[in-house]
Amino acid sequence: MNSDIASASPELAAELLGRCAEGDRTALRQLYGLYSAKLHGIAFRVTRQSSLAADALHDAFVQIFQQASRFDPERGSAEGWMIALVRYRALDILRRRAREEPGFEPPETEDESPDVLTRMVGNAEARALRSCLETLEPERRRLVLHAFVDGLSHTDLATREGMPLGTIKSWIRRSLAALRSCLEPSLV
Amino acid sequence: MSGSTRPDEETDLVAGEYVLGVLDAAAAAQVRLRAAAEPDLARAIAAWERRLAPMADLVLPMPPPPDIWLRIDASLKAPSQVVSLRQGGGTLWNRPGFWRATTVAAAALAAVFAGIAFTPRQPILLMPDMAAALIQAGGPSTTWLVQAMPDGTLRVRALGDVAVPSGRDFELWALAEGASTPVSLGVLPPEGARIGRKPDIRPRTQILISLEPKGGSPTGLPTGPVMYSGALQSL
Repeated sequence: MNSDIASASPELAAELLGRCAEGDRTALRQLYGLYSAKLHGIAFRVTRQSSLAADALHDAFVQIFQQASRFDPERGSAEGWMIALVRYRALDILRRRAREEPGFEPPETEDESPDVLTRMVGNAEARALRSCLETLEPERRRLVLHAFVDGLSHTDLATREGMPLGTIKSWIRRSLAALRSCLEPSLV
Repeated sequence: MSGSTRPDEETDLVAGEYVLGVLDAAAAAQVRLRAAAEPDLARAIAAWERRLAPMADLVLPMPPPPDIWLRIDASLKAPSQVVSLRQGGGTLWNRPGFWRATTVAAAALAAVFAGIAFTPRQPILLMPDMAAALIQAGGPSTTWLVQAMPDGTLRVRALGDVAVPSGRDFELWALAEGASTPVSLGVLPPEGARIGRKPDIRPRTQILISLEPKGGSPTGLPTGPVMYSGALQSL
């Protein structure tokens, strides 16, 4: 099975999702071969526990198959849609666990230095997002990255940064608005 | 709100916060619920999913353990025959969202296995003999799992967080094959329920969750929109 992520073109991923929507399990197997390492890495980074990451990956692929007919190539990319699904599952599982076990503390996250953005070289969209992230003030960029990559909520970020919740919320909103207008200047 | 233009700023930023993952569980569930009914919000979410996805490049890929594909494959091999749809009378049953949800519900049955993962501290003593996955029409969705156990109980729980709008309740219904009206199985708390088996719980019975006034439908029949639906299948 091919596990070279670079070879998964957006068109192929969208076509495989289309076949999943028709009930073709071999298409899901192909998507799994192409994306499971990437999606598992994302789930593990958010949940920081291998059993929770495995659950999130399992659920995400079941949902990818079930809900493939909802993917609309006009609105988004197939890869973005699958990444979102696994992140929602991982966040749900992590936050549910934290609620059910009040003492539950996931292991500390590693700190990212800003030059980590050099990993975002995948395609034109990745390069565009990277250069837009680089226009944010470093402190705000770090919040956005921690939120997306490590699955930190507003409250987690406020605790971690020792800042008021309201400040975190407003920084995140301004950062999102700035990213949107940087990526899509015509919409402003 | 116009369907073809950008959503208003507040809607768009809430969508961005949801996709970024900064909302707490209750707020995220609220966004999911709203997105099922608000096309602008669903579109905004899809746009943010596309915009932010490249940040996932920052995470190093990690090959999953080999048994995960086997679990996924087993989950998908659960019965997935097409649900037979019946024409119902009354305004509720004519809602397009309801029928759209029903047609895709059969494939969702596979999720019954996924539910097992969420009760790790509770040994599975009994396997369900029937199950249904109830899914929502449109938008990002939570799946509800319904499992009919051989001990005569029905277990219902959400795969993911759900939010009930304030002042309202979810109510669970069973619509037996060939029946024209559903039977209430009671108000359904967002954390799920375990209820005694009712006579209408059979293979191909449709299980529905409607949004009702606080305390449940005053009429004994669904009065609000059907939020989730699916058909029971024998395992």
